[in-house]
Amino acid sequence: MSKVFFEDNGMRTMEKYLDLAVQRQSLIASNIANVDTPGYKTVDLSFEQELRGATASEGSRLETTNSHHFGITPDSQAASVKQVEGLTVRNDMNNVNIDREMAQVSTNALKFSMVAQLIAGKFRTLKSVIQEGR
Amino acid sequence: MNLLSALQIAASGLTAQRQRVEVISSNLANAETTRTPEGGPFRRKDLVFTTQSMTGAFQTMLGDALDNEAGNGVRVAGIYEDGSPFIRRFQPGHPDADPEGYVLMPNISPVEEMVNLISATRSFEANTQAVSAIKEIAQKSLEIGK
Repeated sequence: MSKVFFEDNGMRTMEKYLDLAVQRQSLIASNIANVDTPGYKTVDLSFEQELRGATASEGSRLETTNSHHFGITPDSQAASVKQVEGLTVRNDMNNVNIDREMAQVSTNALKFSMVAQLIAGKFRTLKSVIQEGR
Repeated sequence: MNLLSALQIAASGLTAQRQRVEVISSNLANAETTRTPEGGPFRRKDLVFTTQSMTGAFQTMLGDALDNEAGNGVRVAGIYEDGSPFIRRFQPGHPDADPEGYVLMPNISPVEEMVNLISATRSFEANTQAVSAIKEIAQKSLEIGK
C-alpha cells in the first residue's frame, strides 16, 4: 500500500458511493411524493456510470504509456439525473410505479448502510493500528 | 445538505396527501348536504398536485457550492369544484324538494371517495417509509466515526 490509508482508491470509491446513494435517495423520495402528480415522470441517477466516472477520474484510471493504449476517460463530475424508460404511463401521464420505488428506497438504504459499515471498519482498523503500536 | 432536502421532499408528500384526505373527508361528510352558503347542494371538491422545486433561500445561496440535483417535492396546486351534475333523487317529503318531488343531492359517490381515501392513505404510508429510510441513512452515516 503506497498511499496514505484513507487516500486510497477503495476509500474514494466508497465515499463517492455514499454521496450518490444520498442523491439517489432524494430522487426516490421525489418519485414517491409525486406518485399522484399528473404528468410527473420517474427520475433516477445513472448510478453505476457515475461511480465508474468518479473513480476513473481519481487514481484508478488506466495508465496510457504508449500511444496505442486506450484509457478510461473520466466522465463529468456532476451526477446526471435521467428519466427512467420503459415504465407504464398511466392516464394522467404519470409513470411512477410505487412498488418499484418502495423496493428502491429500502435497497438504497441497505446499500448505504453496507458501505457505511465498510468505511467504519476501515477506520476501526486505522484506530487499532494507531493504538496497538505501543 | 442533500439528505435534509430528501427529508423535505418526503415531508411535502406527507403534507399533500394529508390535505387530500382532508378534502375527501369533507366530501364524505357532506355527501347528503343540500344547503350551502352559496345556495344549492354541496359540490364535490377535488385537488390537483403539482411538482415543487425544493430550493429554499438557504439553498440558492449554497446552490453554486453544492451540486443540487435533488428531486422535486409536491404541493397542492389548488382545490377545484367538480362540475359534474347533481344527483336528482325522488324524495317528495324533503323540505328542499322541487314541485315535482325531486331533491338535488351533492354529486358525490361515497364509493369513489372511499377508493380515493384508501389511495391517499397508501401514498401517505409510502412517504412515511421514505422518511424512515432517510432517517436510517442519516443514522448510519453518523455511526461511521464511531
